[in-house]
Amino acid sequence: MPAMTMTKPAKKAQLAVFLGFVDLISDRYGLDRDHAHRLKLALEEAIVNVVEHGYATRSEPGDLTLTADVEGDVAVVTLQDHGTPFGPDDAPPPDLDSDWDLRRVGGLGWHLIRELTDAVAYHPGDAGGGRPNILTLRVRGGHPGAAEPGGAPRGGAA
Amino acid sequence: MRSFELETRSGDGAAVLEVAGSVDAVTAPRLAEALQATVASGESRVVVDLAGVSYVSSAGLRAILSGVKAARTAGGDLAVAAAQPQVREVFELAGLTTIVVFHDDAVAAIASLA
Repeated sequence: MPAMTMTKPAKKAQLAVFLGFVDLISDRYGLDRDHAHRLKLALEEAIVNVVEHGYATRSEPGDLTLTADVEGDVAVVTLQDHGTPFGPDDAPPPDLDSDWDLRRVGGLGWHLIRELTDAVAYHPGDAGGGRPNILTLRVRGGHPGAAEPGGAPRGGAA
Repeated sequence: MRSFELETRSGDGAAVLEVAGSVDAVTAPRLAEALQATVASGESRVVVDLAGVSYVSSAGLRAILSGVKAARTAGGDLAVAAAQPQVREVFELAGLTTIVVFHDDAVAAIASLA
């Protein structure tokens, strides 16, 4: 199966469109409901990072490109943008255990991305110079071919 | 369909915010505003009924944590009712189950605030 791709302006108003990409991936690669939910959450956090950090200083948002592919039973989703790099090492550690009155509101994005996926890789670009930031999310749990008419069932006949 | 609906009712000893749909980066500000407005109106006992919610991202967690802080600061509290397992998991991943109290339904949540 060829990879799927989508490019849209990186703004919150496009969030539903971007997250609809997960439904397309799920249908195509046979992601079960639980893994699709996890991928959608991780993807939202990653998209919001691009909108609120990557392109925060731009008067007009740049593009965000999503690409999805499958490696065995792993769904691989890649995000590419040309904003200011904002990777896992650029965020403060999450506050997960302070009492209610001291608990920091926010700062959970990268933590949730790590928790909700099986692997995360971030390669910063050159902030608009032509080389994009590339974030790759991997979620195990796909059943390639299961959702395609005529596709071989998982673990089918050799 | 990723919709969002919010209805507030009061009179049972607590304000109950019934939420339906997705609480994401686009819709969560509406929940945050409603929670702050509820507490500001004098209702410091608040229930957020998530029975109709299938998706809560970190933006939704922020809205509810801010609501907890506002309610407790005003002398009351906020309880969450009827969170579906996949929604509750997000609270757990964020370390919020030590702060936010969950109940099976709105009736139990209201009773807990009495």
